[in-house]
Amino acid sequence: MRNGLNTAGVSETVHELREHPEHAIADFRVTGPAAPDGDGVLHTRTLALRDGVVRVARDFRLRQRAFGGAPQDGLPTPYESALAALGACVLITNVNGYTSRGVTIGAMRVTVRADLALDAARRPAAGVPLSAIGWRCEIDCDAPSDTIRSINRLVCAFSPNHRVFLDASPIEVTASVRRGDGGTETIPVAWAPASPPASPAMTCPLEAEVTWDYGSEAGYRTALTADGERRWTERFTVDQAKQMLGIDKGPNSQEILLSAFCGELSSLIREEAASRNLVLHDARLRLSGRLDTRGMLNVLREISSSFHNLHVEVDLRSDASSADLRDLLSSAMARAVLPATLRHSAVIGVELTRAGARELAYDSTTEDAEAVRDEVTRRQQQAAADAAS
Amino acid sequence: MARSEGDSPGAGQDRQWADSLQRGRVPGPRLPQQRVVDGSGPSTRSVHAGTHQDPVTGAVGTPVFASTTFTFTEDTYEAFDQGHIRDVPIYGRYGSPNQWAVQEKIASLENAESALVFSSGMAAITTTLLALTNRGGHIISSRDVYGGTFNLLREDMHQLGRSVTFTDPTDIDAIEAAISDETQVLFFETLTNPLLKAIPLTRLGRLAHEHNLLLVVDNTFLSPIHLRPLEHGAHIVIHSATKYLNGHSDVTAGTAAGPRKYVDRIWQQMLKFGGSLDSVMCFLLERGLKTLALRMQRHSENATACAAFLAAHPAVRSVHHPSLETYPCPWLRQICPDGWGGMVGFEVHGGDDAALKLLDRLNLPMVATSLGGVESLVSLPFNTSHSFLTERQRREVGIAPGLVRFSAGIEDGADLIADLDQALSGL
Repeated sequence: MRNGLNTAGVSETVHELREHPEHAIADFRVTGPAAPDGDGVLHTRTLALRDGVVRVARDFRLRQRAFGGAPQDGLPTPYESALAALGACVLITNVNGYTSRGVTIGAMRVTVRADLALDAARRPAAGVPLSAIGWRCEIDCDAPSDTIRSINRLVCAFSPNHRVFLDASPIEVTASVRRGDGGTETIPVAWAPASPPASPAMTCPLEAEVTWDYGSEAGYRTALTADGERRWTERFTVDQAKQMLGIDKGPNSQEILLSAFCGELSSLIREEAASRNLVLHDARLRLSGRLDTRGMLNVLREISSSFHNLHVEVDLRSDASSADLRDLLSSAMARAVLPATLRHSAVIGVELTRAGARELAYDSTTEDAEAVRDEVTRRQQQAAADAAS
Repeated sequence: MARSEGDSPGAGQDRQWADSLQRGRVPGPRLPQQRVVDGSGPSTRSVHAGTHQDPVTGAVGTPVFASTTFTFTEDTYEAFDQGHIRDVPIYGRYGSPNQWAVQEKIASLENAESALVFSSGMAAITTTLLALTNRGGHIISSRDVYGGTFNLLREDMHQLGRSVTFTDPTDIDAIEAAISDETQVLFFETLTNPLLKAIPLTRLGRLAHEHNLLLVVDNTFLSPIHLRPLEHGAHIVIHSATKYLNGHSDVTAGTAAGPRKYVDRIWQQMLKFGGSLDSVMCFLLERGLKTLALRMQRHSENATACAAFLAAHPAVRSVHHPSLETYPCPWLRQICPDGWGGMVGFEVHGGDDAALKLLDRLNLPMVATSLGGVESLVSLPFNTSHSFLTERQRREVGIAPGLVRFSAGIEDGADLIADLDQALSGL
């Protein structure tokens, strides 16, 4: 199997989805308590995912550290995890692309960078999206330049996490509250990012480095620069489920992204509750998102290739009023950086290098990515017409 | 050696994106030399399906390909590169013409896209359950399953990161209540050992589909001649082929059959666990399968006749057989109108001591474990298949003192009844 990836399996999946679209949907979920533990560690774990018409158990626990806290055992902040999720998805989409083109990969590394705006208190500036997002893919292979440049453009069109950062991606929030008297209540939560300050007091550079191991398995580490010092985390594993051509070695890039969201919101919900003197006896978050393989593999042009249907569910146990809880959650979402980042479309800087030489550098936009999908679709239709005649 | 049918994905520079890869999922693996008799009756399939027709000698049966390795060709290298190595003869553990011949016959009998043979029924069960679940996954099964299966589920699955809940296999509400977020597989025997309880297969199939679960069933007791579970909602059907499928008590083997998507996954797991079946055993199994339809008819006739005789005998307290009015799972008769295999469970007055005495007095059936062979066998669950259960646990699953498990062979039914009569009359 070239690059440790079963091309036949990918090919069979493509053909299966044409006849059985119900097999195309994969819903990922993570959960975690809406509070860091006593050491400031944010805990999340993956939940079973629905992959087409079957369930896939996912038994991974992720640990992150709250921003501003002491570095804990080399753990990433949620902002670093989000960049790792972007880089890991770009990397595995590249591996798929190279393998489909019959190219053997010698080595591959994707490095993602972004700036986190900080306020005067040196905390993440409320509702300010990550800025200057960009990734560089370093590839070692023998393929012609035209091929690796073409694959790079295709990755920007089809990598679900690249697209979720690139496109304007709505996020739905719902909350359910259990009352002390045994009653339950559902609270709709409307939210919008807080008005950003005219200019942030400072920015904190973030970095994630994802290195390909084999197949769909990769390792990542991240860094945050504070007070001029760049601190790297330990190395973590990212992989796909075995039903998705991986080996179940770690959470996948969508689950890491959901965990990043979960971690950031955990801290903010607890902070908001404390600032309002609201008692939350218990609070848990569950985040979900969807991949539709028909979009990722361009089986159907009209299907999104992005990680989409993002949903935050908050389970609370509290006797605070509905209005207070709604305000609390709206405020936490408004302050959050990652939802604000995804809610707005972005321009992502992309660079491709080989042997230290730049092959390609450009700004990726939604319009460009859609144009690439249109072109791929046109070529596929032409190929089908040629085959029919 | 030709490649099996099924295109290569065709990965290469002319492929724009994954959508332009050309391979779709195909039945098999199946070589062009193999007979395909889709659409024919079960006896015809038993005889002809999958036979490897040697173009050089014209042999009417599949030759034994004892070779463990096969010469590389461009197809081999391409398969290694692109991943479809199940479709190319490479190495004995990966697949051989004898495996493919017998697998194709089993797939045809089960109406499945693909089948796989293993070195035992337990290899089939272990490999299938681990292939179709992930760490953290949950399996729902029953205490009524075969003892070896129960031991795997109870003693090993938790060590492999899977949890198991045991339920009453006939209680659909209890099974549904046991479903959790991590549940991935429902695993039951279509007809349980030794009480012949029938699972509500069609309802279980619906339940599995509603909850996005896989329904895996062990159909050893019924064989595809009486029941094809894939047609009633099961996703994978497993057999201990040691029993009826081979039928001659001279092969230890297992099978799994179902959609190729899932069987390919099981095959990938088997490559690593190593429970493949060698060519000579495949040859014997294929030969045994040729008479499956005939044998099952005779097994069922003999079992039904013995059950009727036993039900009327004063030394017998109760009889467990689907032909009897007292049978508690009448839905089985709707999905198996033509018979129920050769198993009969019955309880003699006088408890286990009387049952032991009965075994001493029987002449034709041999006292031995296993079932499904041409020869009748008899054994007592309390000191064999269910000896791992406590007396209380045996009571809970319905194993009463004096229970006898009788596997009717294909001898003359009158002879079997005469022998049962003389043995019971002397108790």
